[in-house]
Amino acid sequence: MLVNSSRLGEVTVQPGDLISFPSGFIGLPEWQSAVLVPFSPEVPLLTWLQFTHDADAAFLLLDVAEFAPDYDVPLAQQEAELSEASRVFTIVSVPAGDFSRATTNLLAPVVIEPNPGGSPLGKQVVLHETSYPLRHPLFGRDD
Amino acid sequence: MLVLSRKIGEKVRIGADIELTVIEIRGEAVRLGITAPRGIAIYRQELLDTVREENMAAAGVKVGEDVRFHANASACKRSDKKSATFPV
Repeated sequence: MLVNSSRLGEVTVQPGDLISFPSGFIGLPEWQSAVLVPFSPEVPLLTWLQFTHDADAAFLLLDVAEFAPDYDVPLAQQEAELSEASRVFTIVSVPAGDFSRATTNLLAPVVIEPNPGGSPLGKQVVLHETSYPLRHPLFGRDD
Repeated sequence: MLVLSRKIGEKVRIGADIELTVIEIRGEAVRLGITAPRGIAIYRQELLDTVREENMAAAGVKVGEDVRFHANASACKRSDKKSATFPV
């Protein structure tokens, strides 16, 4: 099937690639169906999450386990359970299109479970009992 | 909105599985205890508002060619530092 993306053009996906977000995202409850599309082979840590309801609706996700191995998501204390196959991503913001100032939201990661036999299931969780920042810079600053 | 008055120690039951207890009142602050099944998300509203705003900002993200420049300008080794940064 084809998914329209304003950033990527038409993307061909398998039906099994469609991820279902039954609760949507915080503040965006209608954003419920999306596919992961690799950003670029040159930048493997980044992936697009392209929503199917609107070609403009997409999040840029960071593979946080690779980026920050110490990022500990205490999901056992939150409302989601992590399994071995869970994938955890964090959403990237790029202020004014300047990627050198990009930040990622460590406070509210996105968890995707494979859900064998059905569609992968995703949700955004808020790590409210931690002090992880809403905007963690991707690039360390020297100051 | 349903508005109820409760004294300290009194409870409210929501649905079959959610219970709210007034624990303490200190000045203008009410301390609430909430029991709910795992799977029910309970958050301070202002925290959700903050996350919502950041989601909105991130949803409009546009990425230019400069991403390859910045990401590859760093050495391609995983950082050993505790702080999370792109490998530098």
